[in-house]
Amino acid sequence: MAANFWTSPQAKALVGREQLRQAHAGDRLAGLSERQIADLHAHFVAYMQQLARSMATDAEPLLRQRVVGTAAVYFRKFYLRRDFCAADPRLLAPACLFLASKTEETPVHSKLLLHYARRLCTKHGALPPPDLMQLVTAEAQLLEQLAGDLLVFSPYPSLSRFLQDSRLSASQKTCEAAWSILSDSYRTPLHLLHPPHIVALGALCLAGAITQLDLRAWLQGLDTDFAQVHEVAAEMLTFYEHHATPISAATAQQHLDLLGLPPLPPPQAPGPPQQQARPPAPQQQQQQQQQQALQHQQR
Amino acid sequence: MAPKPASGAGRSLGARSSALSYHQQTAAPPANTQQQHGVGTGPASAAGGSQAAGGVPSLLLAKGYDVLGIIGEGTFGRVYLARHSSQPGRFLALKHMKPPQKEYEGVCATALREVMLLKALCHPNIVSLDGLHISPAELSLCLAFPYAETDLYDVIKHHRERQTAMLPHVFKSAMYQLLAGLAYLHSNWVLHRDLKPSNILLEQGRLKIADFGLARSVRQPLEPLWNNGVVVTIWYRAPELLLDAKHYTGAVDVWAVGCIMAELLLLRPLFQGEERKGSQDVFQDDQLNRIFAALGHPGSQSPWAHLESLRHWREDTGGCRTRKPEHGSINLKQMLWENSPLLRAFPKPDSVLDLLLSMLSLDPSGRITAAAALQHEWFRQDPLPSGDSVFAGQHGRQAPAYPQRAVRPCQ
Repeated sequence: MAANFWTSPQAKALVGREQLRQAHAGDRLAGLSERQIADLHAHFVAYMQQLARSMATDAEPLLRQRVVGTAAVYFRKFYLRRDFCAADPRLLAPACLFLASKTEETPVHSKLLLHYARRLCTKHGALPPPDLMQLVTAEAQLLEQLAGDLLVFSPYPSLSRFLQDSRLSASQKTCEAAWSILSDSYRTPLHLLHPPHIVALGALCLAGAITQLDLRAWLQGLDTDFAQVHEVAAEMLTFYEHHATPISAATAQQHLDLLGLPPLPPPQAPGPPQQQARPPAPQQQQQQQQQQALQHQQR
Repeated sequence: MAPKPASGAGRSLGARSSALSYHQQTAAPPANTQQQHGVGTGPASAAGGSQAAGGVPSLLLAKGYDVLGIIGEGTFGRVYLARHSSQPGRFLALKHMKPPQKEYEGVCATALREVMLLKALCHPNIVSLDGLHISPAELSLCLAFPYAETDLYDVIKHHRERQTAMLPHVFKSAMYQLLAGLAYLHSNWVLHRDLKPSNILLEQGRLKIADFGLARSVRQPLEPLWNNGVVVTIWYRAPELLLDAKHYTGAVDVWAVGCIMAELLLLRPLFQGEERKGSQDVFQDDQLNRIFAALGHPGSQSPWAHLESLRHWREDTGGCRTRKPEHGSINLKQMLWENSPLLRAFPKPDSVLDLLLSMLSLDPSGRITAAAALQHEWFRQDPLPSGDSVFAGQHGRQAPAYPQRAVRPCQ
């Protein structure tokens, strides 16, 4: 771990908006809109959060929110240079969670992870999970694409410190809002654009605005880049206006159909088949799309 | 890069090793590289993963490496000496991790720790990760490091076998660089947790701390450290770890450096305890007794602050609370004075001993830190330590380098 964020590889790995705009070129060629791509990202982060939350024994979570945050950063970084159509996000999302559980030193067994993923599918209509070999292969691809840059600084400790420092810990509403805004922020690319403490502060400012708590006096005592903080708060506000509810698994699969990613086989686990809410695409259309996607990859 | 088996004692290197040759200060080719080509076209070894002819993993060939031989072996896989086609003049050590035996584990946690930390660390005395190669299809992994010609395990063995002492300025420079690397790690909230002579390399004469498979970042850890289980090879394990400390600090690394310093002076391990294996509870009474024999029993001194919080002490495991007659019987200073010509070669041996004993404080909170050790008066006395090659002496004098590690053919 580098001494501080600024000397860490993560600081060097912060990207500009331009680089972010250039990502997913292949997916756009295959017919996905910016909005659909953003929706898919938000969907898969929400999926990782849901999966992590479902993995609990006796109310003791096996994966903490911070692990999900790290997984979400891995996911976003992986797709800076790769396309959904060339690397299946349905395999990558659980692989990100699997890898992050190890790098954050709270490892979960892959079979357990897949067990909960299958349950999420049969019980709550999430997308079907990969099989074991697909999972570990995706993990290796992830490690390769990230070139070993696995250290992720989390904004959660920063938020915790800000809340103590500002003596806001007492105002429960604002605290809760700040924590959930920060968790939701992983559905946006903000963590690739800004250092963790800026994202934490942005979440706190927005939480203050929503719960009508005046933070100005405390903020004035901070030495930080307020333009960036406002950018974060503004982007989160936009996110809540447009993407607040993640798209359903069915819609996500429809987007993936456009890319020629066929439905994964539903899990074998007992469960009524109608719960796999996913209308199958007409086969002929699907084949055409697969060919299109292949051509895009070859280009 | 020369990982050795974790047991500390055994090494599987080099029954058929080549004749040793002296390393030139410039990047001379390591010994015995010419004979490797075309050797061993037998069936693929059982090392796992697809192997090309000669037993070289196909991943290395696919990535454009010219593999010259094997320089190390462990449970994880092998270390190969190689060159890359893009830089044929530069020798590399490729640490190739076999595919996991249980594929459900995915990429092994040891490799992930090593990669993650080395990517984030950058210091002249920390080994640098040159490249990372992965074969997603067969789940094998390769870490590329600059080739290091030897390590402190071989250096100690070299002197022991020839019954010669290290040169004082080489010894002092090595200690200085070891502490500099460690101070950097600790200032970055990283504990190494497995320092021992075989994990400390010399790369063109410069000391490099290697093998971060057990290292951990302790900056706001999600989980307590002890959930990783036992760390540090027994001979270098600090007393608080032997007594089952749940919360420990960088002081465990400093203890190991103290043990290594004494080993360089004596040319044998300072506390060579017999490891009790097999039981789930790894209380190592022999190791603890040897430490107490040399440094006294904690009960007979002013007990340190957190002693009562250590489980084995609290529960009196193996009767460790009771002072035994042999405890404190060894006069460590005198023993070192009598057995170390190297110590006697220093004009002020007392300051050598002062630094050593402050690293071997039983009380972890009383143990000197790596950063403070760098400020020790010994490092300001003649001969001054070199931050560059450990062989570089004052007035441009150069000590002879050590033999290079053995290379054996791939097969």
